[in-house]
Amino acid sequence: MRKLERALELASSIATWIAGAAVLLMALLGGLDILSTVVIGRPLAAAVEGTEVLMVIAAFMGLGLLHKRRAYIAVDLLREHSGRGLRRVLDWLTLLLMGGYFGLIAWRGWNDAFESLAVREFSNGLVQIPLYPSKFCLAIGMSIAVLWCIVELLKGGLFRDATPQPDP
Amino acid sequence: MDNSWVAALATAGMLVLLALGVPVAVCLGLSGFVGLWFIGGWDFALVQLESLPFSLTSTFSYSVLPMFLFMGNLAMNGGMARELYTAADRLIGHFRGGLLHATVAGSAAFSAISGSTVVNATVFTRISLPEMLRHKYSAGVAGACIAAAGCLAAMIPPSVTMIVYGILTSESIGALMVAGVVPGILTALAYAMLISILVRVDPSIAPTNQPRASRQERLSSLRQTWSIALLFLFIIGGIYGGYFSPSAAGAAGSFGAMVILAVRRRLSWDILSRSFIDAAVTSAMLFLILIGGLIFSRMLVMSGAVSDIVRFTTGLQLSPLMLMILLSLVYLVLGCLIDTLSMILLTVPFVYPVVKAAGVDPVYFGILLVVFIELGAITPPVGMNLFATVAASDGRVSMEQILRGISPFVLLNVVMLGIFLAFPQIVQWLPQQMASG
Repeated sequence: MRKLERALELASSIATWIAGAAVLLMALLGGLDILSTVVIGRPLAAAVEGTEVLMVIAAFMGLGLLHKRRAYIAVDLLREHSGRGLRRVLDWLTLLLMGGYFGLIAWRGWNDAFESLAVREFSNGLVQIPLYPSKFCLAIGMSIAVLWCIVELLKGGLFRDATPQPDP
Repeated sequence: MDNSWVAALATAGMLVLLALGVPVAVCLGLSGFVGLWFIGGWDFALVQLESLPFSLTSTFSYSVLPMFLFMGNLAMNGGMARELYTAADRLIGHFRGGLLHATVAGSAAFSAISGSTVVNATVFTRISLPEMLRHKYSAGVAGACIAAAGCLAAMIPPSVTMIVYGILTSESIGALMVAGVVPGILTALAYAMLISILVRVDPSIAPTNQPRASRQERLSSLRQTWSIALLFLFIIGGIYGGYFSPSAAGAAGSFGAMVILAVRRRLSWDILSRSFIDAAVTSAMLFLILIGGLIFSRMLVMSGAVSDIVRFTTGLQLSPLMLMILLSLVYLVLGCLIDTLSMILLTVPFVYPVVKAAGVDPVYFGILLVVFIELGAITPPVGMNLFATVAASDGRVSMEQILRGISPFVLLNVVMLGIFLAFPQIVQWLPQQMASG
């Protein structure tokens, strides 16, 4: 179990850095596109398509760290007024439902990514950018979140009551 | 089972999960998915789950969300917020309640580059609360003022709230942002008036006055704020000068912030990496909620529930003003019970078609929604900005203290809501001028 957790921590850490790099690249791409438009009167080729692909990576690869930080938005009204036993049940339920929901998206995400790879799916535009890497990132990010839910369920089902771990 | 019943049961199930503390994104997505399964079958529901996450996150116009978050993080980590506060403090800090005024002015100005109310509340709690407590200001009013002033980030562009509303309704995010400028400035001025009244009525709120800063100190601190002014002008000038679209404004702003920090020799790897990692994690959280919200709204549309509600409400033949007043009452109650982002996601799929059918300008309604959000963020028991302020204060101020100080600010927001309801021109004037210009 400890080994799995360590592997997951490493995977979350790498994925988060990839998500962060995607954010940085989006900003650089957007800035260079504007400079190119203003200075030489021609927009940067594939800036829009590139941004779209990077955005998918940025949106899903940070899910591992999001989960570790417990940064989801939830309504705590009932939880705050419940005892330890009920809170434990609510944690279990939360992890179970999260795992199930993320699992469904991850499953369909993998399916979509492999289909995209099989047909060599590219973006429409002057410069064609492959779409399947970003689809794989969607599936990977979701899968990391699912694995965190499973590990935490196996460890006793503590979620909101568990102390958030430091960033990898 | 009748589709309307499916929609009703899915909505009820979603609310139950929400009450049990399940993350909002999961409540919305899962109940929407189950509803779609009953309405269109298992395969249909799965197709939605397969296509929606990718199609939503690969839409160029939504890139403003991670990009504005990145820009705000760069400005915060690069010390721009502190410079704003220092300048405001030196300019107006010597008035009675000057540090409260400086907090409002600093937060309003920082809102021009930060889109998140929680970020504003956190930043200014760290910067201005220790100063106010050192000068023996009332902890409750100080905390309440920071939480309330943080809400200006929802109204003054760029605003995450407006972007989310724009994504859900396909309304122009650019038009929404322009429409928020005048109400945002008016609300900040109203806060300043309120503070002046409060410290006159009860001088113990702000017992000491700061010494007046010298002319040289004021000028030098003001000069330090050039970077934020430049960034704001770059974004607004770029959009209205036709150099880039509102959708590209986020990337332009982030790029501009990086250039400014680099020129000022502040762009360290630590600042850069903290900024982009935090932007990625917050984006993941927001996109997850948006995906859930869109699955849920798709289920409502497919079930026909939205059309039923629109038919029912139009049948009541309410005037647009009456409808807005009715909705205001509903939102005021909802704001006390659920957090602000959930409130948008839960209600907009129902309310937006009703509002549009009643002939209300959707951009104007978007601004009213932001006022509801501002109220929701500072009303107990689930006011996000109250939590953010308490959490960032490191034990300097308690929730009880803030709750004692927040009521005048809540009341003021209700008055502002009344003003915007009575005079829609306040909201609509600037977008109309921009459109005609």
